[in-house]
Amino acid sequence: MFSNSKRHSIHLFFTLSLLFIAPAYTIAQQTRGVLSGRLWDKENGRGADSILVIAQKDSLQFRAYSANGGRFSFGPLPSGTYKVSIAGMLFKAPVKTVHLHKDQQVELTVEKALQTLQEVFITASEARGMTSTSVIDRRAMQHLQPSSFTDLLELLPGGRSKDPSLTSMNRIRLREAGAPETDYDISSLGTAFLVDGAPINTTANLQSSSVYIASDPNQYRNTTNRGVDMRTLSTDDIEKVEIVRGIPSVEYGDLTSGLIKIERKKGYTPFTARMKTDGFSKLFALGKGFNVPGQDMSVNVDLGFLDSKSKPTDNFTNYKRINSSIRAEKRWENSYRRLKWSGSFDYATTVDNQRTDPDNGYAPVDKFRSRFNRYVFNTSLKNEVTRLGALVKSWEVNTQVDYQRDRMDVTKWVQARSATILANALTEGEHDATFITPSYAAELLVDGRPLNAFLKAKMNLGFRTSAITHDVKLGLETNYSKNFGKGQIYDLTYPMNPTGSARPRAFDTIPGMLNQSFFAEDMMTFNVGRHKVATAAGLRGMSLLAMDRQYAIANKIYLDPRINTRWTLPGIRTGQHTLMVTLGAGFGLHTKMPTLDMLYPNPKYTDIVQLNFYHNNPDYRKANVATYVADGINYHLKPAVNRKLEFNGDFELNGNRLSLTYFHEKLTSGFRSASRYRVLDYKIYDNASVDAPNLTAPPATSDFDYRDARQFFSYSVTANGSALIKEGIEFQFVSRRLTGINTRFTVNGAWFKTNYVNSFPLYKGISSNVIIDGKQSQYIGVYDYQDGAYRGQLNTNLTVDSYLPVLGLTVSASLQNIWFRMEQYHYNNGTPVQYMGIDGILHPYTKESLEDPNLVWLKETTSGILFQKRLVPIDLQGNVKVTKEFKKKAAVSMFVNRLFTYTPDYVFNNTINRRSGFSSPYFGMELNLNF
Amino acid sequence: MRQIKLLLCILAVTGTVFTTACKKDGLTIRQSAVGLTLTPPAGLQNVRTSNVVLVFKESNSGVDSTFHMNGNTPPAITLPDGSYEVTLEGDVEYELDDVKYSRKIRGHKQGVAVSGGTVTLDIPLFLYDETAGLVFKEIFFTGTVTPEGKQYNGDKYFIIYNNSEDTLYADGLVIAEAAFLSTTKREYDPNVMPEAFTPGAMVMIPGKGTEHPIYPGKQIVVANNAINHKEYNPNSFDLRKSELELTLLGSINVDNPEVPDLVNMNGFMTMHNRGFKSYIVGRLPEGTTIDKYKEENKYTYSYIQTNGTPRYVDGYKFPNSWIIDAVNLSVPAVFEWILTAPELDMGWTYCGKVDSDDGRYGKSVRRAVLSTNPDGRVILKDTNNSTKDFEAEAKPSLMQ
Repeated sequence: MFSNSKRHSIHLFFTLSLLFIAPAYTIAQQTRGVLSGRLWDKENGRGADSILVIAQKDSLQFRAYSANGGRFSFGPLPSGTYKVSIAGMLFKAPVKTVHLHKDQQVELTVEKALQTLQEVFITASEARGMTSTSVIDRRAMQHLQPSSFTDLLELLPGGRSKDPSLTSMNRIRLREAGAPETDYDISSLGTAFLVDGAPINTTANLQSSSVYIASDPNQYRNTTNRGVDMRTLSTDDIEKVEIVRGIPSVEYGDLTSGLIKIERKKGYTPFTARMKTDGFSKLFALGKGFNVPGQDMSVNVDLGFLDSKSKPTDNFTNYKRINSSIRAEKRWENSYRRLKWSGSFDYATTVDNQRTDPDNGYAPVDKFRSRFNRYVFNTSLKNEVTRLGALVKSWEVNTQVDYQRDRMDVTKWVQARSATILANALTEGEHDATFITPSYAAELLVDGRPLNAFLKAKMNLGFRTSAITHDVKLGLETNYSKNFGKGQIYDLTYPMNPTGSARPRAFDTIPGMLNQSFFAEDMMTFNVGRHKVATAAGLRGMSLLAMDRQYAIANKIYLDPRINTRWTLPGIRTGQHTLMVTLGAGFGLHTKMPTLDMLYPNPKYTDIVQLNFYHNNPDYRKANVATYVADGINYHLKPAVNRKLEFNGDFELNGNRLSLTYFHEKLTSGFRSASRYRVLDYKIYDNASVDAPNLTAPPATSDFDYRDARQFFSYSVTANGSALIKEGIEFQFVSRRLTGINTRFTVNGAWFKTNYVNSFPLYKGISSNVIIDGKQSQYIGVYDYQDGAYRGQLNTNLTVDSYLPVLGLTVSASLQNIWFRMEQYHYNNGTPVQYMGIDGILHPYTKESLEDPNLVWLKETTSGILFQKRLVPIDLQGNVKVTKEFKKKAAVSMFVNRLFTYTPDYVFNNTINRRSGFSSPYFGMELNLNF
Repeated sequence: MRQIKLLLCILAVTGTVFTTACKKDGLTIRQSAVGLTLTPPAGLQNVRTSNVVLVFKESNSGVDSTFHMNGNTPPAITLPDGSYEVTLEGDVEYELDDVKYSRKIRGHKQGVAVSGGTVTLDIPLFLYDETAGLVFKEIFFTGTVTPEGKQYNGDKYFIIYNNSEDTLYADGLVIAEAAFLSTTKREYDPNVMPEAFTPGAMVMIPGKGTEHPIYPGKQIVVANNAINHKEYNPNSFDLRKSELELTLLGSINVDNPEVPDLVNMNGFMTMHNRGFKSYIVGRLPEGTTIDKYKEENKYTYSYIQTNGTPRYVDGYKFPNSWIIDAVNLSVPAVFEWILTAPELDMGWTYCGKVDSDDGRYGKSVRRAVLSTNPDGRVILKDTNNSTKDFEAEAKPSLMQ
């Protein structure tokens, strides 16, 4: 059964064992027990092989090498007391004392003796993979002292330290210059987060209260259609993060912008405790990794708690997060395969609380509380075939079920600002209406229960054709999302927003979404002379199954072809050192499916008051409302597709490394809310047609005379109208650690130019100021200009860090500089190309239209200065971080961001923009304990 | 004991040194000479001013410096450096088309910087008439609060009063709210303020000319909603007896069938409840319809925002010559400028001393009484200076 090489190594092992054991054998005559055991690698919980084990009894020394799985055996030894230790440069283990009087097993935990200094990074390092990827490891995170995942993004090219904003949603925006705009949420929605291989799926998240409350307290916390809220992700159970900025393998899909791969701690770890505090928050985290003795199995447990508030001085608005996780991993290993099973259960809850500031609301009643509870079960099985020459190298099955219980509870004291008509009909048509209760405590519950199921099966094949080595990935991925929540629940008679036009909707009436994909990729590596070339070409297909045929998206397969290639040149001798150059290029399409809320939007209600007869005698009052319902569905909605192109260069000389990436990303089908206008007919009842002073009985609606009226009403639908075109250069230079002071210089940064455009024609209603014959909204204008702007920036972050293992001290200073920021709006002359009157007919907008006293209002005034490039000059800040370790048992860290800043005032259009003197430092500290 | 005495001694000596130092600083208040020119209204001949009183009010200290002037030659004026508001009142005689007139004259200029030794100042003069007809008697713009402290809006109102001896008609009267804010001074381009008011919301009282008479010394109430507001807010009051009511938007357009509605000309008159806007009452010229007015008076103005980007806004002009009465409103802590030409109203009044002052609710601005005629007719004070003419933070007259 043994393959050739296997047999070789076993031979070698026996020969070596004999070599050491044989002499001992001859000396010790009375054999009383066999001493054997296993070495465990503390870092990964696996058996550690090829390590010399020494058993010492007085002057006698016995030696053995650990074999596969970390097993070692000294064979029969004379009885007595032995000190068992290991020898070697790379590993260390505590000495164990064994009283040997019969056969005995010993377990030793070994750990890496010392990370070589060159391997210690406190910044993100650029991965040496197939595409531009930043890798952030434990040590970098520890030095950074994050409160949530958001803080890690500082380490990316183009990143910058920001104060945590834990009372609003934290969205990710990769490779973008400029501020987020609601219509460009595809940035964060299109960034996939994977935790241990399974996605954080936000498709079925419908937790919104936006139209139900007049000034929505959830506005800045709303995550619907916006992707992952990074403040919910704790960093303390994370071992490593890979942020794929470039073109990810086709193995990963349902994304447009990028991919975040989070790998959590597995295997033995000491008991760790972390306490962080700063002006906004307090964070506590506990963690421990166990090896199950005698079994090739590890269990990790993590617990975290964060308590934060919006401002150091504001106790009314706060955010709490609890994360807990238990993860197990078990391995079976034999000579031809390695089988690994992992399972995990996670529970996380976050609570947003907002009590009304007594100055702004009715404190005894008003409150807002939004709670997310997430339960995640994940299990995966991976089989690696170790037999040489096997076609199937490995296969893997990963499944995850996650269920959320989301509850938003809002209570608000509603006061009628005047007599107000209550329009709450659920069906289309004309309805008599009442007036709202003068004041009441309104309650709104938003109940969301998204369930996501994930299944992924993958197989890796490996073979050679002539000189080319192929690594082939084949796989299938299924994602199912459905929301079982009851939606917005409130008493229709006591709405929270009496003048709004919202109606409740149960989320569980919305069909589930089944997203099925497959992928196939071939990674080919071959050598041409001393040149090494690697190319990964793959195709991913994705489809929404079991959808209504009315949708254009239904049952269509969207294909993402992606290719990445790397060309490593032979080393070039320059003086004493060799310059290593790797060049790369990649191209690919990336598709993101719409969310449930986009495909099945909330129906849009329009309530038009037709009769408002507020008689002095309450019994004679009469109101009538025409209610229209639009389903708001855009059946033409398609997925968003991003086309990425990039070129990379990686240069390394004497441990100094420079990585460069140029990228161009073109996404023209991003999701946005687009206005739709429709003409609605209604009646205007004439109050004077009833003899109000002499009424003796309540009038009926039919007693009133009326005239017909119509006007434009707008509602919004989701459409593929947002174009997001990103271009830029990312760079990172990492020096080797200078000997002596162990200092490393890292310069990273990026030049970004982002074009934000609405790619659809614009429809705009005429100003509400324009009243024609007592009626509003009698015209709409059609504008064909590109509504949007260029935004750009160039930044560099210089980080100088010293790692002094003798003192246990890591010190870093970073100078984060935005050299300039740029903003330029796309030109438009503000003149519509067409207009539509209430007759629904489109007319060209001409010179005569400009003369018309009403139509002239459709013309927007613009001037050259509006489209001038605004350059915001230098914005510099200096941050300092220090970590001091005490005998590896405790570490104290502190940081000060914006220790100093330089932001000069600048002039735009003869106006001084004052920026200086407005920033105060942000600082905090933390304590880490290891037992 | 001796030590304590010593300590006291040292304290006393240091104290003296410091106070002396302070006095020294205080001695150097700079003074500047103000060279004054008064420009009479255009088109008048042989203008002779007399009994002119000039008041320079320093904005920071609130100190008034008063100067008198007889004849046409301005006095020599020297003032401590500072930022001044200048008001001028006096008598004028002039000729127009060979007819002699004796009238009152006024001048007003705000934000006058006096510094640097010599300053030249030109004040345009304008005529004013003390015997205007219709005036705003009261503007209740703050609304009320409920027992729970929530805002209530439906009970806002205007009261228009006939201050003349003749019966006047409210038919066709236009009430307009300023589009600008008295708390944000901007360089609007073009600046039409010397000849026109820039309104936001505009409403018109309906009628063919004689449907809404206002007898001498009588008033009409224009209510937001002419209903009994006590039904909705026990702290409010009954407005069912109002003569007219506004037409508001959508679901809050509550209509009492027994009270005639105003016609909306532009936007909705919701009334700024912190009082950042000014109000005018006026009339379109004979034969000018609403549509014609809007056609002829639309204009686009721009201003530079704080970040340097210009902003363009479409609006209307309402010529000053059509305006019957004007009241500027603002808030003392955040006042920046008045929104009318000074000949319409050279002052301003208020409810609430700071921005968003909770104390403003349930208060109105009411015009002061000048005198009461023997027949009982009350004559209200109308000097076109709301600072003097109005009682700020008054109790609304309709609040029981």
